[in-house]
Amino acid sequence: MLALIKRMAKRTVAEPFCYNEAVRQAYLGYSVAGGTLRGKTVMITGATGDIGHALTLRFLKEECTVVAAGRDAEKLAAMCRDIGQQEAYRSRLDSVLVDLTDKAQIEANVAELIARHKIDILINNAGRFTLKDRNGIFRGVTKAELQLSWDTNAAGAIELTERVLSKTRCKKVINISSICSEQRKFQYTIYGLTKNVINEYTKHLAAKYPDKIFVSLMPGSTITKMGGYKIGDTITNDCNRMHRPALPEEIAGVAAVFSSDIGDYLQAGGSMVTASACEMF
Amino acid sequence: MPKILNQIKSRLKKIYLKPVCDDIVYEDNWQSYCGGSLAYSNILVVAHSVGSEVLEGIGQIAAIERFHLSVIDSMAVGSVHDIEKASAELLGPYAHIINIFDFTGRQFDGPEAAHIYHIFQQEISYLIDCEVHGTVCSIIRMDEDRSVNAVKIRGFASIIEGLGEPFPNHGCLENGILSSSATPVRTAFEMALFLSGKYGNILNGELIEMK
Repeated sequence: MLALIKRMAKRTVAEPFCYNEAVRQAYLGYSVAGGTLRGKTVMITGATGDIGHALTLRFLKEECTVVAAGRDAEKLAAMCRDIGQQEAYRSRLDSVLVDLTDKAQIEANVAELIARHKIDILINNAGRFTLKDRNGIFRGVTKAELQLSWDTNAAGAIELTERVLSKTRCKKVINISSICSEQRKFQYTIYGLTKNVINEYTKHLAAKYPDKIFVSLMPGSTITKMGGYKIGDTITNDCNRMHRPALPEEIAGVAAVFSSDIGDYLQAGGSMVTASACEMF
Repeated sequence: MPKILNQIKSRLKKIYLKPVCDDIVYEDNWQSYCGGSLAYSNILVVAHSVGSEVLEGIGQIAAIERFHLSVIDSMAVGSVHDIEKASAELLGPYAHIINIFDFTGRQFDGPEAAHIYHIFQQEISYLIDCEVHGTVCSIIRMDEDRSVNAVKIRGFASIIEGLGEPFPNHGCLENGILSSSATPVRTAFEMALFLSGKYGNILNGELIEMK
């Protein structure tokens, strides 16, 4: 009864808003980087995920060469086929199979990739966010689950980054972290703590390579399958000050501007940027 | 009795909020830092201790990004009326306000803090009065040293993070940049354009630290 009265007394109601293909395309405008990314080569891990897909499209739009990395050969091929239908993108899109939990595969495939491309920018986007993470489960997490998420979200990303930085001219690394690393409600989940590892790694890299740029970009709730959303969903939600979760295309836009010439002036010591419109939970 | 009933009615009345989302497809602009999303909008630059050559550079950027630019000195912002006066010759109110507060080589203390606080108050009042769901982006420049002056400015700059909370209550978004003279004003302004455009909305309440 109290809940009903509270609901009726609630003064603000957000109007429904649908995330559809038109909205997606509206957030793929050109350019957000002043055209300064043209000709750069960008490697994106977790490219077949929603944010990864948006990152791939954004950097292709910015006239970069994109190397899409993923662990599922079929999904990777399907994504490249789909995006490659646009003639302008076909010649600038390559792919590499990388399972971040397989150290040997990282070593072999990244070596082969580096022989083919000179990586300018690395975007560590691959991540594993499970139902247990979303529901804030603690006691129900098994050792195997922790190990898998640890290898994907943290150890594997570190392994790959170390190789890319030591063997290429890569000058910028954008680590896609999460506000789960900063919010008490999720900090103890495997996702939250592995993203915290990524934040700390960003600071470590900035200290080790003071002439390069490192950013930990922390999105809040985002319209992704991982977050429980899909295209066509009504996304109105009072999760933040925009009354809707972030769009993958918005996160991609932020990553692009930090990768641009403006990004050269980001503070030393590593940048921790929250892209969540003041989401707190 | 009617007064009390009206009070109760107004408290129970629903306020409908639209999620902030710009689904307009803007014309591609390969030199843009905001995906062309500020094209043809009215932008006010409030400048504090900014040189003429910087303002000239901003004028060039306005031509590239195709927005209508007005510049006023921060000392001229006494009230909302002063901002309205600045927009008198434009078609429509300002949709975006970009503040450039340059404290490099300058003292920062209570009077300066009060001045900037006052400017923020007038700007949000203006946007509310004009019913504009706009943005306010502030560039704060300071000397990068360990002086007490730098400490005060850095501490005060947290207002930019804080204002990300109340501004959206009125449909406006807010963010900003903290930088030193190591970052050219032009570069900071280009970042401010990204933050003011539709792609920067998700960075509401964020203070981007540049060199």
